[in-house]
Amino acid sequence: MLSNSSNVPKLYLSIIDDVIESMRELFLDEGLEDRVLDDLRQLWESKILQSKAVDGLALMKNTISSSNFVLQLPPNYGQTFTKPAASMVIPAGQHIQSFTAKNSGGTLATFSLPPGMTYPVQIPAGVTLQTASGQLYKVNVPVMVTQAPASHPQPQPQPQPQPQPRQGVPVVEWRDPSSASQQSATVVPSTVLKNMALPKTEPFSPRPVAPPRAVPQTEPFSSRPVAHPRAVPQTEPFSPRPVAPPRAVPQTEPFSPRPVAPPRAVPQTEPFSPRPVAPHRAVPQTTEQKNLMPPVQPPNEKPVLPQPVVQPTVQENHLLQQPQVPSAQAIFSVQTPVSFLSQPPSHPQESPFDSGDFTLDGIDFDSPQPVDMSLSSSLSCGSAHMPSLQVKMETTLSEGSEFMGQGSEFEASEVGVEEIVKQEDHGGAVADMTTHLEGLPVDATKLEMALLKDYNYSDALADIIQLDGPADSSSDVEEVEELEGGAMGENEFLGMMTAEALQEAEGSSDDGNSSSSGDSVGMDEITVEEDPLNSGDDVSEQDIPDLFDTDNVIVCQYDKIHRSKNRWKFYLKDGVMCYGGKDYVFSKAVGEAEW
Amino acid sequence: MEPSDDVALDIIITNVVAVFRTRCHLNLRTIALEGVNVIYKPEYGKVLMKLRKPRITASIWSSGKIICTGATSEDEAKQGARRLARTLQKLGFKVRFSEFKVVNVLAVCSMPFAIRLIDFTKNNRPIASYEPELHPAATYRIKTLKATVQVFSTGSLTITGPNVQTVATAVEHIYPMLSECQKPLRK
Repeated sequence: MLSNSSNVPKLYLSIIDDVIESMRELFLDEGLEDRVLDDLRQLWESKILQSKAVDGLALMKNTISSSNFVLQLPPNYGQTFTKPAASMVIPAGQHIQSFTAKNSGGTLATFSLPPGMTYPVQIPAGVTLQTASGQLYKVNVPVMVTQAPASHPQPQPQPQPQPQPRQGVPVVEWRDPSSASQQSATVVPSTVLKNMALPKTEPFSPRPVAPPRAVPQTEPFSSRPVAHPRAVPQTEPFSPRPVAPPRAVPQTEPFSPRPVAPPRAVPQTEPFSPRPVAPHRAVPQTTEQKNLMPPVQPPNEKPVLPQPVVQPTVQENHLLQQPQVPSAQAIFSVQTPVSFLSQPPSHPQESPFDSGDFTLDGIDFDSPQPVDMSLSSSLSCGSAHMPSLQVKMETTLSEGSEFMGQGSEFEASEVGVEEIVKQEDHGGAVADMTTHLEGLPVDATKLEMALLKDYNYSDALADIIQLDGPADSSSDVEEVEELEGGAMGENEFLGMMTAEALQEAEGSSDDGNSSSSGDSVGMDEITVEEDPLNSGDDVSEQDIPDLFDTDNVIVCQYDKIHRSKNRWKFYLKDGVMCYGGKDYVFSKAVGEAEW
Repeated sequence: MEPSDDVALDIIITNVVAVFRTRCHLNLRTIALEGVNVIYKPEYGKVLMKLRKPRITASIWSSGKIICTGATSEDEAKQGARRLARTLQKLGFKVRFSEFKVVNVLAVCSMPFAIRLIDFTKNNRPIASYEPELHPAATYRIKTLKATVQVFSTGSLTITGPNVQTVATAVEHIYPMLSECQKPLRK
C-alpha cells in the first residue's frame, strides 16, 4: 500500500491534466476564459483532497516547497562537481557548502536536501533529481535550483511578490562543464529549475530551453536579479543565435519600440525557424552580438527595467511556452512584467512535465506586482511553467504511465462505468454479465422487441374476453380461461396433469355450471396463488439496500471470474478501488469470496 | 419386519426441482443488469438467479419458463419460486406465478444392512438392472410410481421421483425386496 500511495495522486493528476487539456480548446471555442478552466482544475483538486481518498501528496500546489530533492549522483560526480562549484557564485553559501561537503565522497550519493532549505542550490551536471513524490529529473547541465517565490514554503496560498525570500542571490553562473557548448548561464535564483536537459553535444541547436536564464559573465548587471531563465551561450560559436522570435530586428536597427509581439517567426538572422514562443520584445542590441542576443527591449518604454538592455546575453525565454522547444533560444527580453503577464496564457502545454508532480499551474502570474518582483515572479512563474523547459521526466510510475494512456479511457468510462465490480459477491456476476452483454448480438434487440410486443400482447389478450366455451360464465378473472386453455393445451402436450390442471380440466369439461364451480374453485386457487404474489414473497428486502449501500467500490477490468458452488474467485486487472474512503490503484487484483 | 417398518429409515430429501411459468416474456438482459445475485449465461440463453433464503438456484429463460433447483422440500421449492417470481415482478416484468409444478425429487436413504446386488437383480429381473462395469449400483425402476431407485451394495439408496410422496412409497416398495437380499453380517 505504501508504494501505492504515490501512484494514486499521480494517476489522478494525470487524469485531471488530460481532461483539462482536452477541454481547453473547447473552452476557448466557447469563449470561456482559461481562468475558468484553471478554476475548475483547482476545484477538482481540492475536492479530491477533501475526499481524503488520496494522500494529498502531489496535489498540493506547494509541493515544490515541501518536497525533498533527493539527488542521486553518478559515480563520477566528484570531479564534475568541483568545476562548476568553482566558478559559481554561491548564492546561499551555506547550502552549497553543505552540499559540497556531502558530496565530497564523489561517489554515488543520494542527497536529501532539507525541505526547509531555501534554495538556490547548485546542482552539477549528470545529476538525477528525485523529488519526494518520486519524480525523477535528469540534469544534464549544472543547474541552479532556486525556489520560486510562489512555492516558497509559506502559508500563503498564493504566490507573493517575494523580494526578500530570495536570498538575494544575484546571479549565479552556471556552467556546463561536460558539454562542449559553452553555455554558461547564470541562473537567476528565484527561478525554479526543473530540468535542464540540454544536449551536451550540440551547442546550439535545439536548445531545449532554458529554464535558467543564463546571463553571460560579461553582463555588467549581473547582479540584477532577473527572474527569467536565460541560457546564455557564451562563446562565439553561438553567433547565429537562434534567437527567439522577438528578435526580429537586426542588430543594426535602432530601437524600434517593438510592441510585445506574439511569437515572431524566425527572425531573419536566425537559422532556426520555429520559435517557440512567447512574445518577446526584440531590442536591437547595441553591444556585441556575438554571442548573445541582446535582450531586446524598447529602452524607453519600460523604464522600470533596470536591467541593461545591452546585455549581450541571450536570454532564452521559454518560459511561457513551449512544450518542447526545439532549440530555440528565445530572446528573452527583460521586460516589464506586463509583457510577461500577457504571455502566460498562450501555452498549449503538453509537456511531459504536466503530468509531473509539480503543479506549477497553480502559480498565479496574474497578480500585479512591483516591477522587479513581478518580473521575477512572472519569470519564475514562467519558468515554473515547465512546458517551456524541456523537461525530461522519468516517471517511475509504470502504472501511472499506463494509466495515463488509459486516462482518457477512464474519463470516458467514468461517466458510463462499464465495469463496476462491487465488493460484494455479486460483483463477479455483474462483471461477467456486462461483458457478455457487450458482446451480445442481435438477440438483445430481438428480445427487446419481443418483450415490447409481449407486454402489449398480454394487455391486448387480457382485453379479449372469451365469451364462449367453458368460460361462459362471466368470470372476473379472464386469466383463468386463458390459463385453463393454456394449461390444458400444455398438459395435453406434455402428458402430465397437475392437480390444478386436472381440476380445471374437469371443471371445464363439465357443463357450464359445474365448470363455473370448478372454475371458481380453480379461480380461487389461482387467484390465491397469484394475487398474493405481492406480499409475503419478498426476498428479504432489507438485504438489498444494504448490499449496495457500501462506498467500497472497485472499477476495473476482469481477467477471469470463476465460481464453484458458492465460492467465487476474481482475477481482476487495471482498476481503481475506493476502500475505506481511500483510493487505491492496481494493475492486478485477486479476490475470493463466498456467497 | 413390516414393510412399514421403514419408519426407522430416514429418507433425506436432498433436492427438489420445480418449474413454473411467468406467463410473460422476460428480457434476460434486463434481469442480468438489474437483478441481484444473477449470473448471465448468454451462450445458453438463460440467467441463473440464486436465492439465499431457501437456497435455490433458478434458471430463467426468456420465454418465461423458470426451473428452480436446490430446495430441500416441496414447500420450500414453492416458496422459493414465489420469491423468485416476486423478484422478477419487481424488476418490472408482468409476472404471473402460474403452473408451479414439482418435477423431480431426489432423496437418499440408507439401509441398516448391506445388499447383495447380484441376487437382488436376479430376483427382480426385468425391473432391476445392474451393470457393474458401468455403474456400481443396481437401478430399480418402479413404473407405476415413475420412480427410480439406485441400490448400492452398501445399503444406500438414492431415490428419484416426481414428488416426495412417490419417493416415500418407492422406499416402502423396495424395502422388502432389499431385505431379502441383504448380506448377512460378517462380523
